[in-house]
Order: sequence, then structure tokens, then C-alpha cells
Amino acid sequence: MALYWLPLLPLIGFALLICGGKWFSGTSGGWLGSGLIGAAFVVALIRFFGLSDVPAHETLWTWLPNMALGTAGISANLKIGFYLDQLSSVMTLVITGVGFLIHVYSISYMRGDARFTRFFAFMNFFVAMMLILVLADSYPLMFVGWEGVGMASYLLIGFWFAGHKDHNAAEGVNNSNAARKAFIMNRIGDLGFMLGMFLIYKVFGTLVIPELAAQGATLLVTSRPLLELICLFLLVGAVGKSGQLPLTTWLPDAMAGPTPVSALIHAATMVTAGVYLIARSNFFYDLAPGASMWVAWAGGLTALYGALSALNQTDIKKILAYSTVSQLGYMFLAVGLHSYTAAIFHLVTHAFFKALLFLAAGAVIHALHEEQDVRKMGGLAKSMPFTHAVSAIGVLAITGIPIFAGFFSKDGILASAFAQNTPLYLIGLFVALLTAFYMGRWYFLVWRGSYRGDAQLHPHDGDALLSAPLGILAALATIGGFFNVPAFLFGGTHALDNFLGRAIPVHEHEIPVSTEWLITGIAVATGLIGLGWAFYDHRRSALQVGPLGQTSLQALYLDRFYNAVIGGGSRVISQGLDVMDNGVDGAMSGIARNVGAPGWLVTVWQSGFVRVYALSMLLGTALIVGYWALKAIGGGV
Amino acid sequence: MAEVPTAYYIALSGILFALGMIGVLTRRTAVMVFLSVELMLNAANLSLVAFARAWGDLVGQTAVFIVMTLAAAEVAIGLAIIVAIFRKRETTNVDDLASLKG
Repeated sequence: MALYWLPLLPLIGFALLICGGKWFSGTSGGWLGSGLIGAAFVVALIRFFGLSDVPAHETLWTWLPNMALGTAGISANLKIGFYLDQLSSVMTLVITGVGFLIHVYSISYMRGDARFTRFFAFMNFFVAMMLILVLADSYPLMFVGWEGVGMASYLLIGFWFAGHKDHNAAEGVNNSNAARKAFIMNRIGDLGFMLGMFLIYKVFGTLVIPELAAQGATLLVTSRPLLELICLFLLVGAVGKSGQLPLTTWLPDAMAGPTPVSALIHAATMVTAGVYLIARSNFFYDLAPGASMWVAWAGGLTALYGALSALNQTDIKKILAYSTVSQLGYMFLAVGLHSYTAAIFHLVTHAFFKALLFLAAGAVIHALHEEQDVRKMGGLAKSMPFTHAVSAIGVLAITGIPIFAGFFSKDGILASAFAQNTPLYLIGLFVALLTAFYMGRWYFLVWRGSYRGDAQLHPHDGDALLSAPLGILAALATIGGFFNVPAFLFGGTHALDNFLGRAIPVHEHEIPVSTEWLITGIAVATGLIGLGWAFYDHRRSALQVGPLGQTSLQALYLDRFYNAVIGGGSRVISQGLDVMDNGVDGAMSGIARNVGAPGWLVTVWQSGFVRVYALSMLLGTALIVGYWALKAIGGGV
Repeated sequence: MAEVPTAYYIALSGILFALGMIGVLTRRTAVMVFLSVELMLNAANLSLVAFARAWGDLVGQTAVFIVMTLAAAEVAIGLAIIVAIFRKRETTNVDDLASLKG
């Protein structure tokens, strides 16, 4: 199967569902969309098993011919080409696999929505664009996918732009604003991405990634500041897409979209595009230690920011959203420290357990008839046993309790941080503690204690369509870590590291086995302490909010800060410009009026009465004749 | 037979011109306005002929023939316009024809 089938299958689904929405009655559109993603997953699997050490590089057609330059055997023609190596193969598996599960889940979750078919059209479009993003062989093509997923994200965050169910207009405005915010903040990042591309083209004369990677020698002699600048520009792009500091505030707001959207786009796939971009550009970052340090610190600080903000949220999805911000910070921390495989590993496991947690949250929201406030939940373990079980697995996985997926991947990141940068390691450890606490709080508030909500509701587990994806994701969140068992545990083989290592460099850090045990022990202990703290604090629904809690609830006031500084600043500037504009406008209007006034006098004369014209002629003639007559008789005029 | 002085002709011409002028300015019917314009033209003709005789050459008389030709053409076109306006507007009152008012 050619590579173009991967994005083409979802694109076909998108075209059918968007153009022929009326042909699909009931849930048939959802089944079509899900089926095509399933087919794409099969293609991804086939290509995964057909991978060799030589990456597959398939070009379709010339996109931008004669892109000037063309020095030293570099093809200057930019082609539409797909590139599959171990890295992009893992990404295609995650996108289509998790994407398929979430599509199936959505058939149940979105049933009865007035725009059911449209929803699946957008979702298919998203998957197609995400696949183009990861398969692109050049930065511009990656940018096409990059923008495409941004648009899909915008469309889906604002999916309920008229409000959900009861058509609450205020809620609809809220949703639309969230969509706009995501789009606009991503534009800032995209500017960085574009500047990075321009600079790469200027320096190297090509934008094709494998050709750039093959230029190892040329890269080495390129001046360091230029490389650092390229990496910083790409970092700006990655920061925007992945919701890292300082462009992070759109991601929590993106939870305005339907829950499957949050699971697929704003947890499992799209927001990891920044991590993918940096991992893909590893040949640059390996040579740019300064920019890499920026990446690592952006990640570390965002991890801390996300975790602190998640501590006291009351919206069941907002907790998970800030948790996503925080986990993405972990991934950035890892890629910044050149531990690309650790980052990708965490990306994969995070896709499993975070999608699982979001979908479980969706099941809860569904069962409680759109209730999202954890203060009105509690004790749901009794009425929703299956969802409770998978949620517990998700919580254990994200907390890093042994044998669950997050344990292995988070441990890998912490180990590489320990070996390279002690402050970042300490931040990572502290974030692990906070993660355990807020996820424990989430768990206890939703599932334990006694029910605090509307007594009229009788929550129960979802139907098979809703539950099957949860079960599969729970299984993956449980065993997903065994893809990459470190050497010192159970005689592990680093399977994923070795696999990815054929495409991207693995920088081994020699850590004594005893130290590794110590790091792992500390991490697990941290997780357990966090969970215990949450258990102690929230067993009986500790819901009072102090000043510190308020700071967390307001996400460290970052949104307000932006609103005051950037929003306020631009408001002041625009008011000044408005005053100026009024002045200029007023002057222009004044001139126009003063020019018009004499004109008006003459217009009055143009009365339309023929006799007035005749009189005018007479007077005119009399004037002229009189002048000459006076002159002739020597009046001395 | 005593010669009639040129000044008399000029005076008559001036009176005719003034009458025509008053007619143009006071009459409202397009036809009457038109008639008055003809009167003014002929007043001018009269003075031209008088000057020609006084100077004893034919240039003035030639000019009169040109004016008469023009007047004939003007009458043909002018009356046609008036008929067209009447068909369209059912009136020839010049005060009602004010659609080009500024």
C-alpha cells in the first residue's frame, strides 16, 4: 500500500461527509468515518511491519517547481512527498489507532447531535491533516498539515458555536471565543515556524527533511548562531501548537469542544505535533545546545505551570487539560535534553492514558447529563463500575505506578533529566508529586465519597460502543509501557528506543544500575505520596478554596496577566490610534464640507427653470456688451 | 424720397429684440418662447441689413441669409423636440421641465 493512502482514506471520508451529508442518515456517517480511519490504521500497520532500515520516501508530484537555487546536487523543486521512518511510523500508528477508537466512541457520544455527520467530517479531516503532518518529507508540506490540524481544531472547539443541547447563546459565544483564541494563539507560533523555514531555505537551499539530515557535514560548518536561531524559530512554532509557556492558555480553553475532540486533538495527537517537530528536526537541535536548553526549560516550566494550575480546578475536563499541558511539558523537557526516544515514548503512552481519561470523563459527563463540575459528582464508582475501573487504570498510569504505562515513560524522562540537568530533574520530580496529587484528587472527587449532585439522575455505564474503546485504551495504558522496558528492570531490551534509534539518534546516558533503581524508587514513592496526600485531603471532599487554591483555580492568573498587559496595551494603542483617526477624519470631512459649500451656491443657480437660464444669459450678455460699450466710449474701465 | 436714417432701423431692431427678450422671459409655453426667440433673431437680422445698407456692401446681407438658414433648421429641430416633449410629458410648460435641476 502506497503511503498516500494514509491521508487519502480520511480525506475521502471528509469529502463524502461534507459534500453529501444528507445521504447519511442516523449514525451511518459516523460508521463510514470510523471505518475509513480503521482502514487507515490497517495501512499504517502494514507499513509498520514492512519497515526496513531504509526509510520509505515516496513522491507524488512536483509541488513548487523551480524554487531557485539548486546548488550542489540539491533538488530545488519542492515535491509533495511522504516519508516513513520509524519515528513517523510510530506516529501514524498512534494517530490512526487512537483516532479509530475515539471515532468509534464518538458514534455513541455524539448520537442525536444535530450535526452528527458534520462532526465526523471534521474529525476525518483532522486525521488526514495530522497524517500529512507526520508523513511530510519537507517543512512546507509539514506546515500544510500543521495549518490543517489547526483549522480542524478551530472547527471542532467551536463545534457547539450555538451552545450545546439547550442552545444556550452565552455558552455558544464562549465556545466560539475559545475556538478563536486557539486559532489566534497558534498564529503566533506559526509565524515562528515560517521564519524558521525561511531561514533554513536561505541557509541550506532546501527544505526537504531527509536532504537536510543528510547534510551533516554542511551543518557542522554552519555558523552556530544561525543554527540556534533556526531552532529557536522552530521552537516558537512548537510552543504554539503544543500549548507550552508562554502560549499555553488556549489549550485549557479548548475544552469547550466535545469531549472526543479533547481526547483526540487536545490530548493524544495534535498538541504533540510540537514534540514531533523537534524530534524530527533532531539533526538541528543536536547541534544547537543553547536552543535545546530553551526547549528543556520551556518544557520544565510548563510542566510545573500545568501541574500547579491543575491542583484546584473544578471542571472535570479542565483538570485533565492542565494535566495535558503539564505532560506535554515533560515531553518538551525530554526533547530539549536530546532524549528524543524518551519523549516519543511518553508521547505514545500519554496518548493512551490521557485519551482514556478524557473518554472516561466524557462517559461521566454523558451519564450526568452534561454536568462537568467535580463538586457535583462523587461516589460514582458504585453506579458506573466499568468506567470507574478504566479511570483508575488511567490515574495509576499517569501517576507512574509500576507496571502501568506512565511509570516506564516518565521514568525514562526523569532518568535522562537526572543525568543531565539537576534543576530540571527536581522540577520534574516535584511535578510528578503534583501530578499524583491532582489526579488522585480527580479520582476521589469523581469516584469516591458520596454523590453530591442532582439526585434525579441515575448515572450508569455507557453502551458497548462507548465502553469498548475505553477497555482497549485501558489495556494499552496498562501494558503500553512494556514496549520500552529499561535494561535494569526485568532484563528489559529498550525495544522502542532501539526501534526509533534506527531513525533518530539515541543519546545514551551512563547511569549506574543502583542509581537507576534509586531514581525509579524516588519517582514511585513520589507518586504514592501524592496519591496518599490526595486520599487524605479529598476522601471527604475537601472543597474549600483558600487564596492559594484560588491562584491555582485561576491558572496562576496567566490569562488575566495577558489580558491586562497585552490586551490592555493593545487597547490603549488602539484608542490612541482611534483618536488620531478621528482627527484625520475630522480634518478631511471639514475640508470636504468647506469645498462643498461654494459648490452648493452654484447648484442653487442650476434651478431647472429655463427662464432663469435665459435671464442669466441676458445678464451675461448685458455685462459683456456693457463692458465693451463703456470701453468704446472711453469710460476708462 | 428722403433716406430713412440708419438709427431708426437700429431703434426698431432694438425694440423688436427687447420684445422678443420679454417674451422669452415671461412666456411659459414652449411654443411661445420659441416664437419670441424667432423675433429676437429677426431683430438681429434687421440691424444687420440696416448696417449693410449704411456701409454700402453685401457682407451684412450675406450674414442675414446664413442666419435665416440657421433659423429654419432651428425651427425644424426645435419644433420636433417640443412635439417629442409633449408626447412624453403631456405638457409644454417650460417650468415643468426641470428634471436637470442641480
